[in-house]
Amino acid sequence: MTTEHLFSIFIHMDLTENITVGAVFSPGEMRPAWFLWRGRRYAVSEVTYAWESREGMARLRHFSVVAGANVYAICYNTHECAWEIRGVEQDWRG
Amino acid sequence: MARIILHADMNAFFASVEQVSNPKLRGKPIVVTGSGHRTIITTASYEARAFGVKTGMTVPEAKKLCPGLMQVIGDNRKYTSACNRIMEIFGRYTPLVEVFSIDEAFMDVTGSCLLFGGGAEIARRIKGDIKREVGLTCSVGVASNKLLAKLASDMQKPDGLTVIEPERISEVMESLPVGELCGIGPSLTKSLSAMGITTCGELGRASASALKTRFGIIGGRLKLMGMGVDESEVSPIGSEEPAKSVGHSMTLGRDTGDKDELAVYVLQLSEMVGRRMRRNNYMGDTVTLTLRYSDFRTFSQSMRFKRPVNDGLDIYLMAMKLFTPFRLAMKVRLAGVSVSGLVSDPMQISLWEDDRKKSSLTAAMDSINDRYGEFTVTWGSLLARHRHKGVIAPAWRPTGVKSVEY
Repeated sequence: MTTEHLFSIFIHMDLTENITVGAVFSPGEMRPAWFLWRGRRYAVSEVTYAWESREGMARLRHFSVVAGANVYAICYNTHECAWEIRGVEQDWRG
Repeated sequence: MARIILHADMNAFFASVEQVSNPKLRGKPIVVTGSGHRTIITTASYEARAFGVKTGMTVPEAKKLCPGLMQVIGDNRKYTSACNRIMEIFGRYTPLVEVFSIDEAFMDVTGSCLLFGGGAEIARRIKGDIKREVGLTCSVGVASNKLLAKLASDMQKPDGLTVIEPERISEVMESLPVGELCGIGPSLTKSLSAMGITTCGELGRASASALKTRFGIIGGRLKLMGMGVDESEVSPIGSEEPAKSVGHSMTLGRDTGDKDELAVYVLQLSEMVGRRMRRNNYMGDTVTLTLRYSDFRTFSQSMRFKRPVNDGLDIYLMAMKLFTPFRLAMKVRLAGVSVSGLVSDPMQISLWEDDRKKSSLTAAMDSINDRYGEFTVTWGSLLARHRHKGVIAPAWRPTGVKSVEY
């Protein structure tokens, strides 16, 4: 049986759920190290991108992070001091 | 003293941001699109371009060329954030930064060369800073004017650095096709070709009077362009001409001929326009409603107020005066509302109590929406408003009335 997949697509899930995050702070930098989502702990192996946006007065610091096989979009709301998960990119092979 | 101008062009900007964000997309043919099912491609990665995929194609068209193509729905806030970071990097080397579009900028570094080295050295530093801090590559052109700097940045993509020294200008221009110059599009290229002019060398040697006879006032400018001459200044952020109009348009989630449904779009657009006008202290007295049918025929109608306004409801009511008698010939795919005849810093206080109450209500709503985000408090009929992520307008700028938060 061949190991080749017939096709591969990304499934993007938009979410807005509060999560618990462990982050490492160094001068001028904040890096998420792990997060708890739906009862499971995800270790962040790489922060691939970080960017900022505003929602009203709140400044949101967004991170694209790799944990396991998937890429997650999480963000920190500086106004509410809360972390949210905003999306998951899952590689799905058929 | 010869000027030193840089033009920086981010390579496949939106697609590159997505490839940096998601390691699984790196090295793959990807396209960035809007969120609607009828959306078009806003950016293709270089891997997708190798298959012939281009901006403006539909996704099915692109997939015919590149069956393994991956589609990413763009997030404009991510790209405007990256643009702001990149502009901040440019600002370290000169205050004279002109944002040409979300992924292009001109810099006049004539006065900075003593501090940082020559134009090429500044270009190298900028490229290094952007790669290190934002993770992206760009192509930079260095020349003595904006026309040549832009031409230079186009010569080596991706991740290029091209210098056109003053002594090489004639050599570079001689055999360069006229259509390669910024500002000479397909139509002008065709007209020049009909005059026997196909290269910049020929354009530079052409008779100024013949060009003026054929093209009017721009004829003289065309000749200078052919010679590689461009005296235009780099217009730094904040020195732009005052806005002439404020508008928003959106491609609808689906084509519709239901006038009640369309009225909700018109209200949403009117609120967006009014909010941006108030934030930038503008009022305007002319409302324009634009509708595009499903066959892409587009109509605009305008009406002038007796007095300038910037309240979303006033704009909506005027737009509805245009829309209500309109007999739709077919379903509509795009709607737009804009206000022109702008005056800035209006200080008129109404004599009528009802108007003052309405102004207070609007100010209170603005205050809440400033604090908690757009449309936190709005009309009940907008609770089910359209939320699709729009395409960044070419006129977008990082600050001022042209700055739109998506």
